[in-house]
Amino acid sequence: MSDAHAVNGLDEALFYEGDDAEVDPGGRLAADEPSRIAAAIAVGQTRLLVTAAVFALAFLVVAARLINVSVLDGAEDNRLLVANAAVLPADTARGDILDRNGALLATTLPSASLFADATLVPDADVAIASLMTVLPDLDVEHAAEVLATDRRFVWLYRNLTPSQQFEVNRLGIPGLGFEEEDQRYYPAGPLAAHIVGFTDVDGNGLAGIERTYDDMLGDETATVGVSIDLRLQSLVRDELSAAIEQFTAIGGVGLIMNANTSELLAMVSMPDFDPYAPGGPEDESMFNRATLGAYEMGSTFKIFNTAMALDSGTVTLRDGFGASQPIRIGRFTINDFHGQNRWLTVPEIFQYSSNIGSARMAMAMGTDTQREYMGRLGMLTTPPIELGEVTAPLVPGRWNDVETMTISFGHGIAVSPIQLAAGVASVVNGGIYRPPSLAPGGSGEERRIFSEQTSDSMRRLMNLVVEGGTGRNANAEGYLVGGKTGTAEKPMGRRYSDDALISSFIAAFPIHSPEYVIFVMLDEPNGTAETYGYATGGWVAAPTVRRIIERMAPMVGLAPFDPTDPAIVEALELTDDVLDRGTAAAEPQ
Amino acid sequence: MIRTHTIFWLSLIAVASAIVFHVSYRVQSLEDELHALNRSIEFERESIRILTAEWAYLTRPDRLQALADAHTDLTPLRPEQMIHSVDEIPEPLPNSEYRIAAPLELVALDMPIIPIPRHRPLEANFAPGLPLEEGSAP
Repeated sequence: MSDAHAVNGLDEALFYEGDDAEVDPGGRLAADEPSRIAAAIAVGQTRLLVTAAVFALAFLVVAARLINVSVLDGAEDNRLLVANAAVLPADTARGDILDRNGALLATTLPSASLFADATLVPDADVAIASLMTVLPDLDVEHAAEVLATDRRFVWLYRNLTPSQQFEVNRLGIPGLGFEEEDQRYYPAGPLAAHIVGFTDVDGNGLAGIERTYDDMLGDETATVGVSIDLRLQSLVRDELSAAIEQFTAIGGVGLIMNANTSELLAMVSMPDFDPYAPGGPEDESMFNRATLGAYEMGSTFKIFNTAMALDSGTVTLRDGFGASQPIRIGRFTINDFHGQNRWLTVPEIFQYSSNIGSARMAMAMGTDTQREYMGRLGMLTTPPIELGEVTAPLVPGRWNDVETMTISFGHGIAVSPIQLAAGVASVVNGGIYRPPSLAPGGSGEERRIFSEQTSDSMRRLMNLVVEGGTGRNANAEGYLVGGKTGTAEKPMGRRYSDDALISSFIAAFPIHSPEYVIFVMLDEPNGTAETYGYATGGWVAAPTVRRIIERMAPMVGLAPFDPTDPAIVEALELTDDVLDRGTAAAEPQ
Repeated sequence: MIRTHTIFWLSLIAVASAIVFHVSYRVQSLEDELHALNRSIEFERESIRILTAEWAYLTRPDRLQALADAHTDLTPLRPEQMIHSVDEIPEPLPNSEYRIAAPLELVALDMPIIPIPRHRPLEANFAPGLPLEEGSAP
């Protein structure tokens, strides 16, 4: 057929050219006609051949490809299919939050919400009555109101459980339907509420890790891990709640920190809240005392005071200060709680927690040295923790002699519990400070503050406090605890309250080679008959620390130590060689 | 000549269309299968998420603690209960009535003296407060 067309076309062309030829004045056309026709036919045939060849080739390629795909079924194509099948959309709207062992702290699950087409519900009263049998807390007034309208879509009940959904379906009320929504779940409940935080209805992080990593969780649906160990978190919360109840305190803090990375393994602030029903910003339970509370820590600061005095070479363990007379400076009087009323050596000042001795030690060291060490210990700046709820420390504006003296025993400067724990970790771990962190493995930053030798001496002193000082109640038999009590009067307006205390205990264990720093603080505890009415750190916080250590040690795989082991005795005794450190007697001859 | 050509091409067209239809139906059925699989994968994933959440909820430490308290007599491990090397297993006491042939006798639960594992009775002292019978210590 195409041949015929082509020939016709050729004829027409010839005829046309013939017409043309008639006006040609030369009249040469007639003579050349046969050869011209032959040439044109040859050209046409060549063109046809080329076109046919191209089409044949194209069809052959298609055919070959078809045979390849359908008959031979190349391996390559299977791979393509697999790659295609593997591309599934992310199955959740927001990433999970896990603890250090992979236990789920927050997850997003689909949940059904009930809506109604108000025009299709035949009898609103009957519908509401039967819904009430399945959803007893249905908002009846709201439901009646929206069902009386002509709206095609009204919410009746958000986030049903699967069994509720089943029951509603079984009621068979026309005009009702379910819409899948994403709902955030916190399987651990209030246990880690202050750390994990919570989201709003639309899944935007409003507090805690949920807010800090909102972009990662929400936009990238990435999984976020925190350094918390849920088991330790639970036992700290358990023991802290028991202590708060026993001593009728208004709140408390319990921390377990890794001494060598400053990552937090447990961080409990009581009271805590239900992440499904968080209170308003004024609600006391929403206040994370561990990071957002700045407290005058009291005698636990003597750890820093003694460490910096030893490290700066101001004093040696052989030195001492008179502690028989109270210090009067300006309108202040510095007195001792456990008064020994005599000259005390540096270890004794620490062991008996002498304010007078500490103040004199701080004065010997000087304000500048104290402020420099405090700055490097992170006590003067906001700690870089991965939470939005964090406070800046309260640092004196004027830092003169009075402030130097009071800061030596933990008054006149207010820091958050995580700052204190990170500071103590640096004292006991060999002298390296790392900022407190909720990231598994810690923040990675570190700086040396104290020498190895200072840290070693401080470990011996902290052991002394627990073995025979104010911290005897923290002595977990077999676990070699070292620590320091702290009892501070709470400031009330412009003066200190007599009966409202912040009682705390900070411990490191095993103290010959510390792995964990534990901090327990009770806010306004009251003494009981068992504590002879005392509400000080050594009586109310130290026993809690002991129980936490006894319960956590088997969990973290620490077997009890034999205190008579020569290596441990060597690491903890205050021998003459240790006491001579930094003195003339220790100088090589 | 033309007839043979025509027949040849027509049969080629027939074969090619048959193959095309075959392929397209196979692709369609595979795609249906793929969608079904993807749907079931999504469904399984969702089930896994729900079950993981439920597992986390049921194994939260405070619940386990409450259950253990309610249904068992277990208490937290005490330091003196832990033995982590053979060396810590106590030797029989020198004057104890249990210091007889079979070491298994030591397992007797009503032993009057319970040595603390970490303190080997033959070389170390006892922790104060333990009921040590007169004359039984070395």
